Amino acid sequence: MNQTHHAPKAMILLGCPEVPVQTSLAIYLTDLLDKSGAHVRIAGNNAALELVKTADPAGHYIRDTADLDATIGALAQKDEDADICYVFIHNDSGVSYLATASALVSGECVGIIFGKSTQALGQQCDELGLTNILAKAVHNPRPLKSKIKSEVERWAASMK
Amino acid sequence: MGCIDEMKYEVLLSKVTFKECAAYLNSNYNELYNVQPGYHMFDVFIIGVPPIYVGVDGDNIIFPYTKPCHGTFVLNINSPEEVERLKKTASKVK
Repeated sequence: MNQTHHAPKAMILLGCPEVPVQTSLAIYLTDLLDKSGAHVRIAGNNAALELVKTADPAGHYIRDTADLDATIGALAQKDEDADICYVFIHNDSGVSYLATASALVSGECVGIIFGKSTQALGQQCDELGLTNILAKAVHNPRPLKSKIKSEVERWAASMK
Repeated sequence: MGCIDEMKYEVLLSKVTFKECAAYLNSNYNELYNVQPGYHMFDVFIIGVPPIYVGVDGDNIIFPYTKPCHGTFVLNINSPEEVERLKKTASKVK
C-alpha cells in the first residue's frame, strides 16, 4: 500500500480503557499521525471510544471512530485495510488483538504496551514476532510519549 | 448464522489467557481444527494468536471468544451447521 496517492491510512485499536493513560496516549498518537499526513481511524469498544470523544469534544483530533468488533470484521472481509495499525495493549487480550491485526492488515502493525505487566506482555509479543514498543505507564503517560513520537517518525519516514 | 448472545451456549472457561485456552482445547478434544485470525463463526470474527484451535464434539463446536476487557472465554455451542462449515473450511489438526 506504500504506492498509494491518497493519504496513508492509520488505524488505532484501543484496548480495555481501565488503564488511565490509554485515552490521552491515543489522542497524542492521533495528533502525531495526523500531522504526518495520515488519515486516522480509532476503533474501540463503546467505553474506550466515549473516553476519547469526551476528551476531545470539539473533534479537533478525533474525527473517525469505529466499533472494534466491526473493524475486525471489516479487516477480515477485506473491506478495510491500513498502512499502519497501532494496537494498545495492557493485558493478554491486547496481544490477541495485535496478533489478529498482524494477520489481517497488509501494512505494518505495532503494539503499544503499557500498564503494569509490560515486560511479560512484551516478551509474549517478541516470542510471536509481533513488533512493539513498551513502557511501564499506568497513570502518567510520559514514559511512553517519546517512544510513540519516535515510532511515528520512523513510520512516516518509511512512507516517503 | 446466529448471534451468540441469542444462542444457548456453555462457558467452559472464562477470563483465561489465550495460551491457556489453546492448551485446554488441545488436551480436551480429540477432533481439533486450526483457523486463521478473523475466522467468521456465528456473528463473530475470531480473535487470537495463531494457532487458533477450534474443537468439535459431535454437533458441538468449542471455540475461543476474546473480549478486550475480560480476556478469553471458551464457549461450547451446539451447531451442526457451524461444525459442517468448519470441517470444510479449516485445517484439521487431529
